[in-house]
Amino acid sequence: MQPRSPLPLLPLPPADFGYSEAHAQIQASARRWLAEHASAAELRRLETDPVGYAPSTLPALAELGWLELGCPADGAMDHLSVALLAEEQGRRLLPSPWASTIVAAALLAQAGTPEQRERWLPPLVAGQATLSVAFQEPRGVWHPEQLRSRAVRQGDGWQLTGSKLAVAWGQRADALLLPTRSAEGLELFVVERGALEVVAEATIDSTRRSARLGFTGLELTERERLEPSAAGAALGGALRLARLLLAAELVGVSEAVLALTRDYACLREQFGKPIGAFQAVKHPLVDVLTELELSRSLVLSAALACGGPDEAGADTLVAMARWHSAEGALRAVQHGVQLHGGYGFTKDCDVHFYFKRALASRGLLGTNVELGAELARRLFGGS
Amino acid sequence: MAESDALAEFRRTLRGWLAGNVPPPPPFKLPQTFLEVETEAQFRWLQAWQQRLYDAGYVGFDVPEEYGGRGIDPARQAIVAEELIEARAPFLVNFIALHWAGPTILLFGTEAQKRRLLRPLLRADEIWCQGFSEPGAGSDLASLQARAVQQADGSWRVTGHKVWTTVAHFARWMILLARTEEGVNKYASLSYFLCPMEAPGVSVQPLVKLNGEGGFNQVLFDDAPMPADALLGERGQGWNIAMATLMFERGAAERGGKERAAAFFAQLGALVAVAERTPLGAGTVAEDPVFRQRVAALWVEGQAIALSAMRASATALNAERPLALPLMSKLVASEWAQRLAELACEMLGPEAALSLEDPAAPFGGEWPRAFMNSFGMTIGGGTSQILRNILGERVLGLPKSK
Ligand SMILES: Cc1cc2nc3c(=O)[nH]c(=O)nc-3n(C[C@H](O)[C@H](O)[C@H](O)COP(=O)(O)OP(=O)(O)OC[C@H]3O[C@@H](n4cnc5c(N)ncnc54)[C@H](O)[C@@H]3O)c2cc1C
Repeated sequence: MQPRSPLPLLPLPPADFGYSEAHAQIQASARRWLAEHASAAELRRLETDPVGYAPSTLPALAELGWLELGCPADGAMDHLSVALLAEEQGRRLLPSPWASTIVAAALLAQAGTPEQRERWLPPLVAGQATLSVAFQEPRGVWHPEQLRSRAVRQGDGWQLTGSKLAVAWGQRADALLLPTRSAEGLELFVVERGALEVVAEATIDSTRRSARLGFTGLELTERERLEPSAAGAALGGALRLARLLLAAELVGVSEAVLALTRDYACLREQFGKPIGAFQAVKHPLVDVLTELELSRSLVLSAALACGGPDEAGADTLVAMARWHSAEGALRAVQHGVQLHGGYGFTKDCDVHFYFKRALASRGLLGTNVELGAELARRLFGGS
Repeated sequence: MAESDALAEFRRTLRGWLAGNVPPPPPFKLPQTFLEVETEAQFRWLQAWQQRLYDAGYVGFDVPEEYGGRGIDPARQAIVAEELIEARAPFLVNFIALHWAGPTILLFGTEAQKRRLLRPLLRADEIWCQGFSEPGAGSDLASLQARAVQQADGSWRVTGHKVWTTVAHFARWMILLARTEEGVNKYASLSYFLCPMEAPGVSVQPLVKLNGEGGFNQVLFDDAPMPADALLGERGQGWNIAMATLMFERGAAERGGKERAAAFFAQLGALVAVAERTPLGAGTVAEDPVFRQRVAALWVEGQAIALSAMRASATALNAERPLALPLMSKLVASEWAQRLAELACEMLGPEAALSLEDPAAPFGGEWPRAFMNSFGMTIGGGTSQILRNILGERVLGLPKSK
């Protein structure tokens, strides 16, 4: 009907979305394990816990094989499995540094020196150490080229100055991965937590803790520096993975809120019938359903593209997945609170956990406005 | 995914054929979809195109050869759909027949019905319309009043009033839902007919759409005769058969995700073209940060819809909720297309008010026309509200809204 402009071609998933029997099993076993080990009661118990997750969690996840997914021996990550697991954990809000640790593992596996990999990956895979990548800086900075943390050569070593925030589980991580910029470009360092000024952030979301980091004139040696030649690609890959995990988790958040609210709408009666019979209740729940199914298609396609050859295409799909699932989850939790009425406004109702996670995730690694601008650049070019 | 050599060859041949056979635009304005075919000239031109495509062997990959089809071949069917969009070929005018009536006849028809009806349907020699809705029975379809009474010789006589009947003014046949039984509930008393439109007692009166276009009608039946073999399936089975038709109509039947994806690309590409070619201040709409955000949002949502149409056939992945994707596809796609047309109009600013008749109208005045026509898709075939009821009740298991 109209003259049309060419669109960027994005990678398409195979007809079966690469979903194999093995994936079905991972999903089923994750569901079983989570049903047993992750509950709202546990979330309530952990709210006041200084650590924020059970000490038994990481070794258990190691046992399940979830941690090694971040740094597979052959280097080929199964992004689909990772995304499926992230969604399942999002449904239960399992508090654990799993996601942040596998992102760090992927980064270290790709750009770490042999010595660094040897030092950190085995305990990490065993669930005995956690790492976290400090992507985010003040003033909304996360883009590798805009980082304000500086690394300056000092004789044989380096001096680092800068600050980070919203570092997932940073207050407990054994080591932090610090992206910085030097005169030569991007520099990554792996630093033990004790060397940094670490302050636990007091956030609304007790199920995923985070920290602020500060470092002024921090002296480091070459041994803490990751391979500079691999740094850019590795950090790009880690960002992609972190965004994918966030997106998948947020689909899980929407699923959980939908299930809670749907059940409540069947039980709670007003005016002599279950409130779910009112279309003003029913239709918003359907909108939550359709949005999350649409998000899921983007998340799965993005996961499949992450393993493929078209990196720009994968970046675009991941940005779309992250945009869409953040949008959907925030709407899901709002309906979740509203449709539970006065009960939804209390901490007795589980929805508040999800509400907080959706809100706290929304601004991470790019707001939706930034993602929108990023996507528009792919469509139209320009700034 | 590499296409097999045979399929790649098929695609190449088709592409070549389309390059030589897609007709240049006619001297008159064409309708945007099958819903708006109004004049005899438009109809003849579109019919000739479908006939040519059929004769070249590219129609009917979902119909066995003995009934005039090309044999069941979803891969080739998808390729044809994609390439037609790619080549910007005209749409196929016998849409209701190809996508709703035909598949229903294939499922429920007798051998004789299939042999008689399917070939001319595929070739657009005989056009089909759908007589379900009535003035008093739209969303609540089962309350319809048209009555068909069986005669001693087994033939039928029908009396009633159908409305919003797309393309009835060119139709040779109607899929007709009418009440045939007494003393049973409103669902069990319906029967499904393949009704000839040329019978005495059938009159077709055009209706004018909100944008001034025609394309649909009301159809009055005054004791109109139908032969005995007009009945499809069994007496009293009409509701179930109608539900099958509606599943086809709402895109629930596995009709190509790739086709949906190709349509999405065409629509979004057209929107991008509007942004890039519409001046705004010193630049274009495509440089405006707010419009860029809104286009980006539609891109994401459209991509999600296209990928979901593909995911609908990855059944192992959808075991938790198998009906969700099929039942939501028309709802989300029609609402998305509506937002897209709305945004295009917004981009055009005051010139969105210019109609098809104004030679200065940007993009030929197609966008306000498209926006108005988009409501046909959010109302026809089950309104968005009704689809939300269905999803809420069938997929989420919420209590019925009475
Ligand atoms: C372009 C176009 C082409 C069409 N072509 C055909 C055709 O070829 N053949 C044919 O048979 N029909 C056709 N139709 C008719 C179409 O199927 C009906 O218009 C549709 O089913 C709605 O019925 P209605 O118009 O009676 O609206 P109503 O049912 O009166 O609905 C009016 C409004 O009330 C809402 N509503 C109704 N019931 C409920 C409920 N239970 N819950 C919530 N909201 C409700 C509706 O969503 C709508 O917004 C066509 C319609 C259009 C627009």
